[in-house]
Amino acid sequence: MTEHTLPLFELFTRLRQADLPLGIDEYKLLLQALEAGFGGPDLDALAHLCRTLWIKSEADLRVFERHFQQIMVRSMTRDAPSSSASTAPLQTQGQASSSHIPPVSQPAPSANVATNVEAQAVQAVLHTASEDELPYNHFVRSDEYFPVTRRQMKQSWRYLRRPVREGPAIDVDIERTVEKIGRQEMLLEPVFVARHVNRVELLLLMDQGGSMVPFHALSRRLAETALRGGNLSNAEIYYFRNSPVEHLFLDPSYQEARPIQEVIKRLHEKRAAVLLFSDAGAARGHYNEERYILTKEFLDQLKQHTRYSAWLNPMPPGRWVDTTAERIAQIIPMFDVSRRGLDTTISVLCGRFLPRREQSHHG
Amino acid sequence: MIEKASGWKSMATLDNTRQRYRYTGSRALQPKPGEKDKNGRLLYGYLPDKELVDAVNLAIYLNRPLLIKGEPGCGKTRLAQAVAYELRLPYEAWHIKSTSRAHDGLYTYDTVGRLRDAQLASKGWLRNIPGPESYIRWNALGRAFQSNVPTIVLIDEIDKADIDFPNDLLLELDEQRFLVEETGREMRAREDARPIVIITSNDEKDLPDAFLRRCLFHYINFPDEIRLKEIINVHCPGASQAIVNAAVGRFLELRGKMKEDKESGKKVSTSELIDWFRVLSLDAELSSAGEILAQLAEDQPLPHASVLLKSLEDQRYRALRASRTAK
Repeated sequence: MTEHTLPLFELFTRLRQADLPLGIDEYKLLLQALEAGFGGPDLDALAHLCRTLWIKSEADLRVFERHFQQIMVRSMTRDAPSSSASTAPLQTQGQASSSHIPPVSQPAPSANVATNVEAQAVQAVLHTASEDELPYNHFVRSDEYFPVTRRQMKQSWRYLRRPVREGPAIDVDIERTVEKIGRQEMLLEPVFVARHVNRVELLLLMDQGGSMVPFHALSRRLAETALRGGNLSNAEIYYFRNSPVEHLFLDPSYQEARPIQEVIKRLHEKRAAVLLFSDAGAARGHYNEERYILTKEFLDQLKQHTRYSAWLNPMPPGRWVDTTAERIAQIIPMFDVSRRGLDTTISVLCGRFLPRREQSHHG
Repeated sequence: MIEKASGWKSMATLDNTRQRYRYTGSRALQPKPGEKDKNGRLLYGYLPDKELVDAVNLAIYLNRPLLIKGEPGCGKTRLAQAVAYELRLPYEAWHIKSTSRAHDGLYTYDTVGRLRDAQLASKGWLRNIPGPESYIRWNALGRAFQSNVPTIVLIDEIDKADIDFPNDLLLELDEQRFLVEETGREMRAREDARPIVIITSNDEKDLPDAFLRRCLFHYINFPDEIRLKEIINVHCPGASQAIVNAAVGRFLELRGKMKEDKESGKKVSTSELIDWFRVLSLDAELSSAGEILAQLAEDQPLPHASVLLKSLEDQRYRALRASRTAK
């Protein structure tokens, strides 16, 4: 038996392969804790120790439980019969309490017990360094197969800001205070201002059904990250089919409707940012006059109420050519769903960057 | 590699000092009934399960912040104080608000006061301007860094703050030092008195990965029936066991029903059970235990339901009795 087949290290490697955010430090932490007598006396306690050290989310927990069951419990039963030699407990420098740790968490019986923990750490370092990136099976084990990951989406949303000074005046306005001292020759009272808060109101309009079906997971993720991940105090999501006509829907299955006028009227002129998510007819691959006119009518209506709007198109820009999307991209800034596209979209929604029309094709 | 390994080794021996502090959560070390903290507030016992105790000790030993999550009202916030009480260590709480900034936990600098003093001095109305140090007001973490013994620091509801907040704390939590910008003084926790940091989160916002990586994590599970009864007994010593059994029974039934109806969403919590039980025992004192028991019988509507049911939607559980007797 070599060090590499030790269940703990196997567990660590498997979890890494399953994309858990684990590094050498995390492995060392485990060894260090074991050495100090944590993680005993049974498998449950060991599992709990690993969870405390390694698991930070519910999704990771499920992955962990599966692998722990597979590796630890299996090796437990495998080792049990032939354990006359291997029941030698994990002897870590006089740690009597750890002697209850079952053979599974223990180094190879042939290994030098005195140096086992350090040896394991070094082995782990060497081993993992040699195949650090673990490229195989990468995309199968993760659901982050879109061009933009959840994390990146959240990061992008965070830049969607419309800072407004609001609330009690608690920050000292240094410049105006100094200016006031200059006028009055001494400081009588500093000038206070309210703190900046993000008051952006995001209106997310999602095309649903039809040619958008393949992108439903992506639109769900956009909605999810907008609502949860960012620091948007105000985000509303509505759904439509192909182009928004008369009504917008509160749910993806078109159960509850709101008149478009009512939704748009409520938009705050300066704070609202409207983002449409649709293939704009690019998936169909041809030009549809009716779709263009309906969309244009809606956008004209929208522009009377807000200055900040943009369009995210899940189809790559190459596929917009000669379709309805190409025409629509001329009347609203349109970008593809890539890291850069998303960031530019957010910039447009913040009013920072208005691309010339011919630029909007490459996002 | 060798260097790395030996560096880690020396850290392990150094950490032996930290092993002096071992949390047990045992009944014998809990506050006595009626004992008060220095602000005159009553102290109550805290009954952690074994896994939570292990997580606390691990955090102390490895010197990492411990991130606690769990349903609202499951005792996340009270853990830190209980640990401080048992280990006889100082306790500092930092309750996060939506406007909190990482810096606020360390110190605030009274710039305005200093400017005022300078102005007064220039007019000759103030003879001595205090040194720049004296305008520093230390806050929870700042005080903990200067302590001679490890301080238990509670960072409560970290998810309430801006999304950048946890990342802004990384240096302070990791290296246990910070710089007072106004005076250029570096504050560093004593090696044998590094603060023990317990962080709670209600999971309203996701925390950044970089931050999560440095924390140990524990999810407080909802206590089982036996533990619930123990918790009640710790909070209301001397209560009649018949009432405790009946109340916990009704409570668990209500909770089970809520759980059935809504997978997520608010369910009745331990802290609400404690409040409810206090009201019930007050009733028992005023009338008689027998009467309360009669009210708690399964075929009666829930007494004092408003203590447990906080939303209009939940009011339908008031008349919960039918579900069981019908079976």
